[in-house]
Amino acid sequence: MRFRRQKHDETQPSLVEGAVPIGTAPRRERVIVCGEVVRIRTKPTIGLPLYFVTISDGTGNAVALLTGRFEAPPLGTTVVFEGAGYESREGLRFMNPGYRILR
Amino acid sequence: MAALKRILLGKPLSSSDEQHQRLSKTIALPVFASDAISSTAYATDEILVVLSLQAGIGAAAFRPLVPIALVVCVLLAIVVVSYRQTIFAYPSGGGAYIVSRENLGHYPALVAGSSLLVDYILTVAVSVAGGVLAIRTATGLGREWAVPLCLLCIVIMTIMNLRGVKESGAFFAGPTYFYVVMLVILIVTGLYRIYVQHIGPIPDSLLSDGALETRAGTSSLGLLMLLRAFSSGAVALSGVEAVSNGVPAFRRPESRNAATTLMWMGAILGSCFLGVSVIASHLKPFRGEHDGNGLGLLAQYLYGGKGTMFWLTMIATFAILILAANTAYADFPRLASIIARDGYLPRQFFNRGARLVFSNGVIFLAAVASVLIVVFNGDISKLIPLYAFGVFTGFTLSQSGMVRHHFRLRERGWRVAAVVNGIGAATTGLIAAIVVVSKFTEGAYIPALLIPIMVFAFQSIGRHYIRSRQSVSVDPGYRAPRTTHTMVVLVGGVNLGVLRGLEYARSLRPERLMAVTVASDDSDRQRIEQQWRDFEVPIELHVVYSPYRELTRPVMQFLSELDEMYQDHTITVVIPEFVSSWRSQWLHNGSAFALKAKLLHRPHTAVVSVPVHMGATDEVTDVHVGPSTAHGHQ
Repeated sequence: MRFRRQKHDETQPSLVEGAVPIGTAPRRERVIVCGEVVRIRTKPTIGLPLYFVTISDGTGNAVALLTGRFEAPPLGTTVVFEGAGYESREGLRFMNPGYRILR
Repeated sequence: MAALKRILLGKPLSSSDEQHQRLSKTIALPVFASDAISSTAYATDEILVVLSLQAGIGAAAFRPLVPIALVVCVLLAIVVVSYRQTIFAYPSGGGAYIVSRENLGHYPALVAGSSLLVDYILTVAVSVAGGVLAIRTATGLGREWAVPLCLLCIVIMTIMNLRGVKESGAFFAGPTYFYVVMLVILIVTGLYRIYVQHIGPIPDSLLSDGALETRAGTSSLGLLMLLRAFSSGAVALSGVEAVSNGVPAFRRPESRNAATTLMWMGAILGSCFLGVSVIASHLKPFRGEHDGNGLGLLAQYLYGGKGTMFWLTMIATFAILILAANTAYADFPRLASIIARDGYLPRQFFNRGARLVFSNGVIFLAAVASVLIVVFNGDISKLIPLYAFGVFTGFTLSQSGMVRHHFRLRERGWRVAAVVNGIGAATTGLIAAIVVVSKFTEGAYIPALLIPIMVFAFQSIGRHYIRSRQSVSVDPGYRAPRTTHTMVVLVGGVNLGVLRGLEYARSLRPERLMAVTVASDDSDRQRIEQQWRDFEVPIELHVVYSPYRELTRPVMQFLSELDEMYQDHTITVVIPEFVSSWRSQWLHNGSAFALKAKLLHRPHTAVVSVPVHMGATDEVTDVHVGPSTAHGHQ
């Protein structure tokens, strides 16, 4: 389930300019992280559209809480999150970060 | 299956019926003595095989026959007297194993136990192979029938023994007594005709060419051959320990009844063996390498040809040889249960089946004996060399243990008893050594290697059970730490089973409740999310990506991540499962089965199967499961 095919190697240039490894990304600072969507959590009946999208780059997991959206980035795609993350049980978490799908 | 089991094995017996399943002396004698008594059919022949065929001493082979038989009878008396003392000292049974355990320590006990278990297995294989060989010789059936007939005999005896001790005893009592009666008639007839009618040796016309060649042997008898002949004759003692192993199977008072039965067994065995040897020493039944058994030749000569008495004697001999295996069926499961109770064999051997017999021991014995029959092609001559080493090792340890017992307790008359047991231990130890040395290359190396391997295996099992006990033992006052509860319901789609599983999980009010599905692409996720919305399922859904379409590994990884997040929790994995008829059950739950097997070894994890029975059609209609919801962990 973890992101294995593109395991992060710190000696290689990052896939995305300015992106940092999730495992070492500073908290409460604006960062760019990149990884594969490995899990999506949802609870459709609470009224508010809500997705927890977990990405992994091999160094750690980052979870993006996406509210008010009826679609989540598809499983298995590589996604870039940009925003200020904070520490949670699941690892680095972003609240409604900017995101784009690379492939 | 249940109906077939009932037809074959009979109705189940309650535990309170156990006393009624106990054996009277008349039933116990054939149950426990058929092995020992059956050896009268071949023990004399075994001595003569060494003296006339292997040593090649010709007519001189019959000179030491009676002295050897007398020494074997003295040895038999020593062993019987020793085991009589054992029966009273250890009324709970176990024979050599128990005596060794109590007096010599657990290593000698395990050696004794494994020796006896090996010997019981060989008893079944050898006796059945011997009986089938006799039947084949009489009826002219070809060699290709050996293995199927042996296996058929084992199956019949296994079923009879699974029906219960008492019933199998009743079944086997007739043939055993029939053999004893026929043998006594043969001996009495022989003694009458020798000493009253003064008949001479068997004439040449009844002997084969091979037998006449054997008679022409002129070699001299060496000490080693004499000892080998003696050790071959001593196979008559195999099975003597059976009564002391099976004391709990006797009616009350168990020890006294068992002791009486043992004495009867010793008297029948000793007198018949000596009687046959005396007759043989006068009538000189020379045999070639490929001839039938000597008892048949004696019967043919004494009864004046192959008439009714000859056939009755032969039929009785065939029957006792096959039924001798029943002694092993009576004792192997009991001994295995005692060793299992001590924690050196799997606990399954300690459990009694529906008919109050140690069913697993019976089935295991039958299975291993069948394997031996198949591997050795049902050939008794290949199996015989494996035999007897275990018996004498058991005797030696048992009697050594009794010597220690006497020195420890110093009861009245202990010195005489210790001397008797000491002589028995020394003699049987010597025979065990002679057997293994003289027959090592012929196959005696197999039990000599197998027994240490079994002792090692027993030790490993014992250590495992000790570790298991230690890992769950707690001091008084211990309280289990409180943990939070995370419930994970595995889903593949929304259907009756999943909805029931989710509702069941909710009813347990866990701290955390979630549904997990594994998706190999995003269309799977969109489908189940749509179903989740359609059915308004009020539970959080986790969709885990599995690009390689695996189920077990992503789920295990998901649970590990939950463990990292909640370190004080217990996880319950709920798996909705479909239950259909036995014919179609294999079509369902394949993935769930593999997952459950994996989860069984995961710490702090419980697995709950929520069954959905296929017949509940009304309820299926109620929840309006649509065509797109057919996916599940089915």
